[in-house]
Amino acid sequence: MDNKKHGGFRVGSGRKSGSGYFGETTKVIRVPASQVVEIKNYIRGRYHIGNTVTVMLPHPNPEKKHLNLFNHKVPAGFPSPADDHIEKALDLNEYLVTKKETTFFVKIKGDSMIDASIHDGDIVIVDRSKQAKIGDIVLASIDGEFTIKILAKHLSQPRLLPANEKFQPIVINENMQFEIWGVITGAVRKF
Amino acid sequence: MMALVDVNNFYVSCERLFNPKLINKPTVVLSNNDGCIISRSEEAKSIGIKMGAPLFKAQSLINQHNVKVLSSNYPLYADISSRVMRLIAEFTDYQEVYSIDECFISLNGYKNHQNIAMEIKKKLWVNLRMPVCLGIGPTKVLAKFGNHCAKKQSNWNGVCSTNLLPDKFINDVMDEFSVNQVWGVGKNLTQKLNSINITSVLDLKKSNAILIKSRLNINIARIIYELNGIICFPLEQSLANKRQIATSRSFGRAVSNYQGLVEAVTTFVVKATLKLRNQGSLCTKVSVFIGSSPFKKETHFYQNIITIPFADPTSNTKLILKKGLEGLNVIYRRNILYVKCGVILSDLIDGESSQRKFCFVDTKKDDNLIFVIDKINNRFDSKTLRLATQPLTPSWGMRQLKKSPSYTTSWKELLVVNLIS
Repeated sequence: MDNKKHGGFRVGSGRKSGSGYFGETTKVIRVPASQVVEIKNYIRGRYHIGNTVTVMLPHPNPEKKHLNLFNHKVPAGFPSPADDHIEKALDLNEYLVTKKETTFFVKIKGDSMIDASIHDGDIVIVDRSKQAKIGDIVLASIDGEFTIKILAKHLSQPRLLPANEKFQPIVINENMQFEIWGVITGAVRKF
Repeated sequence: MMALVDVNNFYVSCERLFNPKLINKPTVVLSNNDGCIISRSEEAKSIGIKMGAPLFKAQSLINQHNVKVLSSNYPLYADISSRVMRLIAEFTDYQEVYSIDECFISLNGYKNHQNIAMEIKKKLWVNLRMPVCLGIGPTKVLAKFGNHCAKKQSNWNGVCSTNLLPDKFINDVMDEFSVNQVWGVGKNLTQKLNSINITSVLDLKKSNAILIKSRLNINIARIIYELNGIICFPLEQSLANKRQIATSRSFGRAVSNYQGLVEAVTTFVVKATLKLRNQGSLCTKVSVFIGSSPFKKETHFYQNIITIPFADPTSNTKLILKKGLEGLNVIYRRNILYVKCGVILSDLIDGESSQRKFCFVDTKKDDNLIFVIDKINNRFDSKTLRLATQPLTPSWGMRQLKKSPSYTTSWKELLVVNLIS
């Protein structure tokens, strides 16, 4: 039962710490196996010449260098009186787009809607989630062609009215493939 | 209870949203490089055009029936997909986006599943002109099976609640469908199941999960449990970050010179590293592969791949590209007509939790540069600032002869409405 005396650590055994090549205690570091070669190459490439690895050591008795202490006050900044009033900046998207998922942008060519302030070159905002009502400006497709007009009704038949007296209303009949694509909710123009 | 919502003929449906001339006409969308048919309208299906068929094989049917043919427009499909998913999310607390055109949602809290399904269907049709089918069931496999039935049964209005159907009825339907229609049962598995006399969905449902598990694998046992209404695949809310990012293309035109491949590798590294940074990851390895065509007999077939590890995990385009091009230089052989090239970033780790392993060079300055480039390209056009070896329009670029405009993602390609009549 008295086997505790065998093996294990014995006081005073082994090399004295700091007696090795480096003159101080050393430490094992772990590196990923895949990178051993790369790390060795790196150490060689940077610090050495020849085959032996020379490791740079801190100077045992470094020269003392004196740096002046700043002795004047550093202002930490006057608190802004506006801090309590910070609000987020305005975003045009927020103004123009109610429902992002169903909103699309479409470019205008031509002037049949000029009296409704929709000009050639404008980008209009179309919302598909809005139910089109009589009097709304809508993007519609008629027999495969898109157009933008004012939705109207005449004798229970839908009609599309232009906003320019030079153009004629479009009367929709059963033989046409007609679909209201979305409601125009705004227009943007850059100068 | 859960539902699988799936957009019918998604790519064609996206094209029809912006091009009403395609409505009611047989229409197909082609894969990258205009190779194969990857989406078909109902009209195109009914005249016998097969899914995945190479364009040249379907050409006579296309000519005969005046089928509209379009190249794929992924920026458009991705944008419409995210709109579809966000609209569906308004109906539920739990949504698992499963692919570009389908998601699983939880219907817990709703009393009338059929009604809510019809509401989702109506909303997507009215708001985005997307036709969808819903399959409802207690498990993912049953929801997916219901979705399959909803598509096949035209008189069900695109909704099938497997839980509402009488047991006898659903068993009869399952008896009609072949086992490969079940979610997760592929070609190989079908063969194995057929060899032990399981041919219909019903056969699979009635088989002994424990016995099959010992003969095949645990996954098929899970599918059997799910067919019987026991959840084995719960809804997963957030998609895990990708463990690997690959960008590759078949060239529209074969490339033999080194410079062409340098351009390709640069383009792919730029794309892949952007994805990497967007998901907040770093990569530990980069692989580059090149290959010639195995079908062309006149030149001999060559393909090779090289993988280069990084000392420090990185997402820096410049560093990754440097290693990638070094790799390309090693595997490049002269006098070969290359038709395929790609870049794979692998062993991805989370950017924030990573520990710096061994710092070789201070990359902070480069990282900041990349950050600024990303920001500028995000604000303007994705090619506003690019590396010198990245071509604006590569000679080997994708063949996309009939691509529709990117209506929703580029100011230059907005839908133009003519108000001249």
